[in-house]
Amino acid sequence: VSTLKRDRHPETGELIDFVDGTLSDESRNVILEHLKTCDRCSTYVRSLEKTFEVLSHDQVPQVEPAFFAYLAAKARRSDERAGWRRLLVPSLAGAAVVAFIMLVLLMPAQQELDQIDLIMADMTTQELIESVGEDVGYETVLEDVGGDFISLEDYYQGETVYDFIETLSRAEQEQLVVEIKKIMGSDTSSSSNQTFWGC
Amino acid sequence: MKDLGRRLAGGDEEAFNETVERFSRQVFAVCFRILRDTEEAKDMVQEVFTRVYLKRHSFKGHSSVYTWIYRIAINLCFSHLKRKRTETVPLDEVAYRLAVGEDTADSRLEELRDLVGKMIETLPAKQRAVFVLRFYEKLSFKEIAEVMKTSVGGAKANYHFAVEHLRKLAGGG
Repeated sequence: VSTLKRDRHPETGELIDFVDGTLSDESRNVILEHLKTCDRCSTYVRSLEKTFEVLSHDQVPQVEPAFFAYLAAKARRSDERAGWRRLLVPSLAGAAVVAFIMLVLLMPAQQELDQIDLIMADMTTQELIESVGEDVGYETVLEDVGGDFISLEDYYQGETVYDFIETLSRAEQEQLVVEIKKIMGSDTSSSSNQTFWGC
Repeated sequence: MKDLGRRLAGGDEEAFNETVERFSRQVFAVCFRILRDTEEAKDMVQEVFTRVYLKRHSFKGHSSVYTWIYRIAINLCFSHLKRKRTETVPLDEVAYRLAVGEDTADSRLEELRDLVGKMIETLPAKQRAVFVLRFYEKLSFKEIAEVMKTSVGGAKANYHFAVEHLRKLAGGG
């Protein structure tokens, strides 16, 4: 905070940084000098110090060591169980995805996966949300933690749609293509599409 | 740390174990302080590391492993908070209860902890996350900006708003 001047009251944020201990020595000294003669700022700093003291009493509850000991194994198991359900209940939707499906249906098998890159590589999740008009995240149904909606806006913010596809293994990507073909091939009515894509 | 990130992204199973061992307690603390519920925080930690395991190959090393994990944790907590209706304690009540009694008896400390939790719950999600990362986790504003995908100035502004809100809540006028 190099803009601190001796002839004015420090800003609220500067006083917070002062109590927080993040100011440079120079700025800290300017404020210390100011506090010697300013009751208003001194009172404010005291109330901040009291607040910080109160907040420092927050305590994180103890959790049984076994919870952490088995966490890695549980994460692996949850991942395996959730994998298929993620594929079966994705609600990626909109024009880009429809175009993707159509291409998948029309393309020779060996070119299908490469098309994912071509269509989605540069599209951000935000652009997809805007083009579709809703967040088209996907549902996870993990036995241990219950169902959860993974929002693209929250979870994949700033990333491309391809980042989502990329989280799937090659085998899962291939299976996704199979599942899409199966659903589109067996029942192309709008109600079926609505259920699958959630839009 | 960069080595851990490389090994993790490369599919090294031992690196994943090491990541869980090194960061799970910190992630639990962050989740608890944002969600204010032990069981929900435990569920969240498990989901975080499931996501870490699932997405480990896409970790590109642009940030450190722990800011990447914190980002996953914060985003999942935000999604959870959106769905969860929380009851907030009226500001006057918190200030009154803080003002009554200055002793440090165990019962008083217990009540104080409960109140601090309720104070933090009154913060909007983003301010709450920034405050927790700065005040309790001691992350720098640069690190917080990385986690929250915002600017250093934005992180600082959120922290200042949060502190000022909590100061008023604590009876600071």
